[in-house]
Amino acid sequence: MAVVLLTATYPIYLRAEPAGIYLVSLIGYSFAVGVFQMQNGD
Amino acid sequence: MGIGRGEFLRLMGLALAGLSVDPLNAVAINDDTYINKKLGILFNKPKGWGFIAVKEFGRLKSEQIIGEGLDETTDEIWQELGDPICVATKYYQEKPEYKGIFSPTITLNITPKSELGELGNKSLEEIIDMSHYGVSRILKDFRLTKSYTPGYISNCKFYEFDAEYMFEHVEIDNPLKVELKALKAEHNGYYYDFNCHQSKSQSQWADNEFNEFKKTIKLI
Repeated sequence: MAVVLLTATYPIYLRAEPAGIYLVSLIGYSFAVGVFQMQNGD
Repeated sequence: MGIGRGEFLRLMGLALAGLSVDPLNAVAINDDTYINKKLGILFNKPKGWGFIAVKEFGRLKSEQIIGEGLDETTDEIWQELGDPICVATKYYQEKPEYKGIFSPTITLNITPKSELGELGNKSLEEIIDMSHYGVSRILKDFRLTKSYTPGYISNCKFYEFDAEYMFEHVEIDNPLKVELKALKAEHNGYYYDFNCHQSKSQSQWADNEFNEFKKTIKLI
């Protein structure tokens, strides 16, 4: 993989054209859910 | 707390040896190493894995099914969750043979304590307990399977948990059981939250990769 240097917070990568869909979960045991819970008043 | 600025800079120098790096860049990635100077964190992704571009997050979010039965829309839930600052996954190249395969993945979320408002006054343990309840409403059949005795990474106290849930996705008919290892810490006014996903029912094991990854985490 080539070196990628960034000025923003997030990495940006070049990728091949999508040819299939693999399954990725972005949600874990997250702290942000504490806010979600509070806003729901549960 | 942390490994100290000098040691962090030394490790960063090793990771970026021979490269011309603009010192103003907050984030640098060299092969397997991710460095975020602003947040003072450095780690190596598992060899052979790739980072996912932030531009792909929107698509990935639209494909994962979450929060069924809640009043909030999926967009509202995602807004509350926020995006990871970094995602490394095993199958980062999209190929036809990966279709329908669960890709073992590590995500890093960092939440400023100030974002949690009054919740920021609670202890880390209390926040974690609240997170458990919240996540169980978003991820199908989410449950903790093991809580480890807290350990230390770069002199920072880390909480480690194993959990499992049923992963739901628009491309699969039946939910897929996923195992999750979560590492949580509070450091320099931020909550650090690593989540390591694998699916043993699809033979997508990554225990070794997760253990090796954990050893590489350095906090300033």
